[in-house]
Amino acid sequence: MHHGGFPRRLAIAAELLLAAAQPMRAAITAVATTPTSRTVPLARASSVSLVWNVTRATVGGTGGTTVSSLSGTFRAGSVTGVVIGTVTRSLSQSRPLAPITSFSFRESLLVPAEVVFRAHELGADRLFYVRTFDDGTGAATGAIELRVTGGAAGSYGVERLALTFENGSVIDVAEPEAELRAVARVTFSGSGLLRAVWEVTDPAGISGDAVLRPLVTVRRYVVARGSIELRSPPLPTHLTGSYRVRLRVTEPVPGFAAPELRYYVQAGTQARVSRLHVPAPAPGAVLHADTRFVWQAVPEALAYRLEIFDEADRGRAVTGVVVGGERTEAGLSVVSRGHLRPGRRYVWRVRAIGEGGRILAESEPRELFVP
Amino acid sequence: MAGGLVNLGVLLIAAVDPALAGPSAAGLVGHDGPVRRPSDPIRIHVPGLAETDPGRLVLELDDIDVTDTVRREGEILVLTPVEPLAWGRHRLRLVERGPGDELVERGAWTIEIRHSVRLREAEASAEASLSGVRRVAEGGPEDPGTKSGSEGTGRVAGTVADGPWRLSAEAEFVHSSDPFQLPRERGVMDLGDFLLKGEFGSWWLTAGHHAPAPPSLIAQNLRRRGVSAGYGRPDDRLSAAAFALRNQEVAGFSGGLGAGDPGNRVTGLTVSAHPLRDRPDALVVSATWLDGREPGQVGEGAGGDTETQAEGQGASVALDGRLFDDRLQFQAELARTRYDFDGDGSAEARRDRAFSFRADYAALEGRMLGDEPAMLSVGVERRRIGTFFRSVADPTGVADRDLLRASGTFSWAGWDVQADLGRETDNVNGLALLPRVRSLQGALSVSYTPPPRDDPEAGPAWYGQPSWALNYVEFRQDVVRAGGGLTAGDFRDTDALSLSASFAYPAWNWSLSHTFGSEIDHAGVGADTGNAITELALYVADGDGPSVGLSVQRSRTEDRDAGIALTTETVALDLGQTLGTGLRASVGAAWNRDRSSDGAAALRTLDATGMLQWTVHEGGSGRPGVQLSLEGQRHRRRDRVDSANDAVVYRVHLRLTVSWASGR
Repeated sequence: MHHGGFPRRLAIAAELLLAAAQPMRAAITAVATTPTSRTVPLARASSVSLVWNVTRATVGGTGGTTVSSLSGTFRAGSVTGVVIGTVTRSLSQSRPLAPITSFSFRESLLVPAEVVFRAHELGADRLFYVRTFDDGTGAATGAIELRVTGGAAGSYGVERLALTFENGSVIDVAEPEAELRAVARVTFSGSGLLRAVWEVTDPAGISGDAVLRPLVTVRRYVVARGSIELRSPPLPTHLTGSYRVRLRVTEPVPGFAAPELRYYVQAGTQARVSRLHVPAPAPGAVLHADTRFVWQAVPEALAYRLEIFDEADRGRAVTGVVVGGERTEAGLSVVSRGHLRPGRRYVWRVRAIGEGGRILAESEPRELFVP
Repeated sequence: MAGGLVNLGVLLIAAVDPALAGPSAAGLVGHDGPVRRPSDPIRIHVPGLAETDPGRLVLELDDIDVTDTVRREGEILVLTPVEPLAWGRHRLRLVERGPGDELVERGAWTIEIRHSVRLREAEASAEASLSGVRRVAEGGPEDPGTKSGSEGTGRVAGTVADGPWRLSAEAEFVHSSDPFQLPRERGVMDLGDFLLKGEFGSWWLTAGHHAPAPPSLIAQNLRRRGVSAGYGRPDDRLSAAAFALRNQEVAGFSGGLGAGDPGNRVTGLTVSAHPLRDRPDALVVSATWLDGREPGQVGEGAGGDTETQAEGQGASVALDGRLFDDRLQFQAELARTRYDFDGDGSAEARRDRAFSFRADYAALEGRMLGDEPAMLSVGVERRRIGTFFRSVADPTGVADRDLLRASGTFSWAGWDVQADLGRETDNVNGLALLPRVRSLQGALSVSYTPPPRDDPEAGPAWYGQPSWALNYVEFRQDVVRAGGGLTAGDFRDTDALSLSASFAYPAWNWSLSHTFGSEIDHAGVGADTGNAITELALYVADGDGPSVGLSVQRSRTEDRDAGIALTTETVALDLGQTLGTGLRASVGAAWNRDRSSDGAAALRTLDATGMLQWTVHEGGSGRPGVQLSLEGQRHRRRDRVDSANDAVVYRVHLRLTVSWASGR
């Protein structure tokens, strides 16, 4: 009879029974950030993009499948320093339990100017953005170091993005086929390559979940931090209805939602003004006594108006000439040339005028030099 | 003695032949009706007109030669304006070229165009369009919204004036049955831009969207909704304005006139003077003071720091001058700000100062080199802005920079060259905790547009009218004082080179460009990158013929540290064609592909739009227009990384639009 085997098997079975009855415990074992540190300029806001790498290990039984962080805090000087700001954005992911599980949380946040300023006022040359991740059974804390620098050494990020139309308005009612452009004024910290795309929503796709389509991709190196202006390509204006336009910046990722502009194209009540082709004189030509201004004939034109503007003041024509609709060229008389100052640059254009003074066509402005 | 004999001779000759005695003065003939209206013919009585060579007379209206549009009726010259004249005063001048090509003024008059005896100006206009929209087909996972609805726009404008006073108003309105398409995201109608203005002599009052403060170190792009009042016209030697504007822009019926919320308002005063009576533009002295609160970046069309809610004040004094016949132009400005980052005073507010100076000299201004004029100008700029310099009225303002820059521009015979060299340091206030970084930047831009053929009637060459351009920028940063975790030494290097060419023809044009650049990070703060982008564009538009727009773009960005390359390709084509009277069609397609070499991104989209529009009834002044259109959009998305993002979305709408405009 082998009396030692049975007690051993009984002991093993007892252990198994005990293990099955005991709950599996998971614990957050590590929280790290990628990158581990960034620089932020003093007295300015800056965008910071980071990834939280969270490691969870399980020990026996069952445990929480969701790892979350309810908020983040800015602390001056160290990870346990004075709280100088809070970000009330929660991060959460769920995964099935496994012995070791890695979670990645992407976060783009804007470090407010006030927060950086407070850290400096407290005598700290750095601050930390701290988050605690918890799966319901155990928590761990991680942080990214934010070193305070002057304006030029800040890490590359977007501080502010403001959209307007070229006339400065934030909402526009446009004529059909009008040339309409949006202007984005983007304020950066640091230097780097800007990647962005202008996107528009047409009237057919604007209701419900808007359908955005790309217009053009933007790639531009931004140096010496500051503000730049980006002009959109001509926005679609051939369909009547409501539109939206935005500049979506993909690098650096802003810590705020991309703003949008609304514009509305009304139905046309008049025919559009077409482009008038002018073969002569060429751009930048020198004005002589025998210089002839030549243009293509426009059907239904009753007259053509040549106007010459001072390059610095295009509000009122300095001089010009009006001729009948049967003509396709004109010169400047000695009287008209007398209004022009020698050694100055001027800008000229030709307009075709129809019934009731309606503008039928207009040429592109061109430079002219008076010797 | 000799001069007296000559004068006697002239008188004797005049007695023999009166025609040689000099022209008689012409006279303006009175107008029909109590006032002269915008399109009324203008009649000038010219004694001896029948004997005068018509080629010797020149009639100018507001310095524009209108001789070719004048007809003769006996001794009367009749000018019928080809365009209705604007309200107010206009200048007429009749000049005769004498036998020796001397110019003799036969008469000069000022006429006033008026609406009526009581009012110099009185006009109103209104435009409106209203569309009923019905979705006739849809598909895809996204919510297409309600099946039918309406939307529209409206514009109203009006002006009344007489004597020294003038009132004007203009406003835009938008309507949508879907409130989320409106600025306030509620209701069915909302307000767009508006402007109300009252003037009395040189005094004025304005309410609406406008920019009353001139650009300065403490205020940039300050076009907001608000109110302002002031004294002075653009030609006056002294002008002043007080203003109260909303700090963060607003659209729609919310916000009133824009100045009612003290927590979101900038108030200020600006004064401008031209102290030199003989040459008012030679020197302009201006000063601006402002005070305001900033509620964070919460305005319409803006995104950014919503947490920093600050308050502050700013003041600046500036000089703008021109010397040596305008060849030398200079600007100088001093400014101070006080900025409280937390707005409630618990943390100490920071004061700081800034100054800027810039001078540009036109060394060559049209001097002829060979047969072509040459322009050469050189400039220097010095700017020092303190670390804590910040204005509540300039959210884009960049502080903490000490800049010295020189620039030059040269143009001649189709060549344009611009060069720029600059040196800048930060940590202007010398704070012990912060590092100091020195930046050196150089930029060169060269373009060439060859002169066109001598005979414009022959048309352009087979290659069109070309234009070439090259742009190069180099940027070097070094840490010259350690701090903030940075050690002294190389920090960052960036350079970019761009080459482009364009070719223009009478009815079409095309262009090609290539840009490549790189950035090297020596401090480990960011990644080393390289980028190359190529773009091709073609545009055809020939009156009522077809219009074609094509653009092709390829961009490759390389993260050299991670060894990952991101490639984006976009091809877009737009076609438009008038099919018949009142019938127009347009289609467009845009294909886009984003992919990364590590397989993290692989997204393709294809967007197609189409429209068929029939103008049922052409609108005009006071007559409604009616249009019927069929519009469609299809969006296809393929994501090889996450197929859950794959989708095909399409929507087709039928739209009936009624429009109306009052005319002038």
